[in-house]
Amino acid sequence: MNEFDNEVEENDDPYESPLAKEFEQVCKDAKEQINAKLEEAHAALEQAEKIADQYGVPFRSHISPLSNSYVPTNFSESKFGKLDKEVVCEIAGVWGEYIRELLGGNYGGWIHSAVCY
Amino acid sequence: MKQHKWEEYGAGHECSYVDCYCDHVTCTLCGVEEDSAEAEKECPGFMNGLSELEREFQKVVEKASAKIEEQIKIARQAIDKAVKISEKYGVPFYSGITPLGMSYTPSSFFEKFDELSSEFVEDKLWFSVSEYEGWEHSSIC
Repeated sequence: MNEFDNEVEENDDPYESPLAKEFEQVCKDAKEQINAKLEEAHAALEQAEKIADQYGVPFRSHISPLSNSYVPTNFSESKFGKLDKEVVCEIAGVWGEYIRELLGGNYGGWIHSAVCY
Repeated sequence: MKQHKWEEYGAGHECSYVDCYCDHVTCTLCGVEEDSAEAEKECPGFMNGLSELEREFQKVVEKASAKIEEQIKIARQAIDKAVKISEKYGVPFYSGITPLGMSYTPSSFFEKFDELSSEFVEDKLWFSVSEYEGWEHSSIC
């Protein structure tokens, strides 16, 4: 048992543990930057659609507006990997069929990377 | 560049590229035989075998593709940066735009080029165009 386990166990509400609070703050900081980049990507893709509409030309893209969750590599081994999966999903706002496996496994990446290509 | 006048694609030849399945074409001037794909690249008269609509489509594909690719590249770079931030902070994120490949078919394609054969369009775009407008998997994932 390590210091993080203690932190979680001392609180009844897993959302109120110090680690969950820290995760919430880190999420807030990171998401601001991540969302800015996603907006950039979205704008560029919308521009590509407009060009296609203007010329009447279909295109194939390796970037698309399909919703998906990303889990950092080796998330389970990080300090936030000790948190309850429900807490992680709720605070980070991630979901998907395999999200639990991805959060708990020794791998990461896009959930649907092996589904649609 | 040596100017060939390919038998199948030269002036006066009636068959269009779409319906012509010849593996080889012959130059009526020098008798050189070439496969159709090479003749397409080399022969300036190749466009003679295309209908007006096919020529127009070929031109707009060339024009639009570079512009579209440029935007996709920008999107790709932005998503790559989002992933790097996620890795840096160790936080997962949910995104409405992701590196999942699929095709987009504008509604204007059906207005402008619906008469073209699917084989011709596929040959020019290198993928099969969906019969529905919009993003290919929009109703799946």
